[in-house]
Amino acid sequence: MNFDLIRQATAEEIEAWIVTRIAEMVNVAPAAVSPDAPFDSFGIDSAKAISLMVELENWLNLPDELPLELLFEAEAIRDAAAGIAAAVTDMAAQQAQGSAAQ
Amino acid sequence: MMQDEQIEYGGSAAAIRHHYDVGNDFYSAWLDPTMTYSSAMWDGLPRDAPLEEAQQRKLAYHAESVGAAEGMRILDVGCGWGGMMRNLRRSYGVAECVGLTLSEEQLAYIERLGDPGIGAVLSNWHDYRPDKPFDAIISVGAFEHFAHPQQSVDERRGVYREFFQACRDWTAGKGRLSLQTIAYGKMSPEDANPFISNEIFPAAELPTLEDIVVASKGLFRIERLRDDGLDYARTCEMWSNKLRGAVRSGLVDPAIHPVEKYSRYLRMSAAGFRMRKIGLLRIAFAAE
Repeated sequence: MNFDLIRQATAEEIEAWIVTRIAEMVNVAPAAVSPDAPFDSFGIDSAKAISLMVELENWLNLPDELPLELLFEAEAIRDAAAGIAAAVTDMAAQQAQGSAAQ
Repeated sequence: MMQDEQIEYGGSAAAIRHHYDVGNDFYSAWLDPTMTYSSAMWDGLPRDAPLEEAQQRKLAYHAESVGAAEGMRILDVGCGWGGMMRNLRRSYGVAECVGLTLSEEQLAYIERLGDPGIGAVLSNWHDYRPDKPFDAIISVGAFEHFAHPQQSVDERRGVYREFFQACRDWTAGKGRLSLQTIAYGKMSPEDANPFISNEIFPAAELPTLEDIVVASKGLFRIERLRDDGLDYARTCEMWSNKLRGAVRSGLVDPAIHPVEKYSRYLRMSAAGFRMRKIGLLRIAFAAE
């Protein structure tokens, strides 16, 4: 299997990515998607929410799934992005440790 | 796909096989070692407790809900791979467990356990006729399959009532029943996702809490009721991660097994629980 390096995006970059993707999904301009609003306030169904998570994981080149609670339990998209950025940093550290061990 | 078939009572056998006979090997790659294919329980455990421990907690919860004790005879409706029955025998000294399943693979698996105190019967609850009464009944993750999407609310409640009546009869009107089932939460049946309803669980319809309250009225008293939807969200996420790991380590081959379909199903279910569209009811009943 090809272990691509994890994209260590910042919380701001992840927030912008999520805002853009939500805007596409609900067909509004990105400016209409407030990062201070919770993810579940946009009427996105569970199938679309999972598609968004999978696309985000692919964009970040993550070897593991992101916990869904990072998206669903956060009070705002901004907090979700910060939580995801922290999880990505952890995964990248594990990846570095794994390749150093080899 | 299923609509031309007759509605079968107690869960459509073809539908159950559609889901569960994908192969024991496939499920064993991502379930915990007890092969428990229903929500675990983290109540009373640390937040980061592993899946296997939380599955044991769930087994103990149901055993204690029915007051499992030495010498008892307990029926498990929808026994899966027998994890509940093994635990009842091992940890509570239950004399005899009988499990109902509609899956031939599960039946064969349980028979191979070789415990004379554990029996499995290939039957749905509607056609089952025990030869002697049970002290208690446990049913985890089966109730979801009892009703059919084409039935009206009254018809569905009628089926559920028949089930509660059967449970009352099988325990000679004095037993306890511990039920665990997914139920509609904020979502209504019309909003059900077609991928889940058609591809994963064809011919199944979830109950609402109201259905259960109405259907059990006068037969069983609800002693305790919990909605542990977040437990199921976490369980699905752990399964999904384990499935991904199994693919990575070569234990599961995506060319043979429906990896992507299950991965999507597990994560969508997790999202449904997290969004409270669906919930996980754990209900302790006592005959009245």
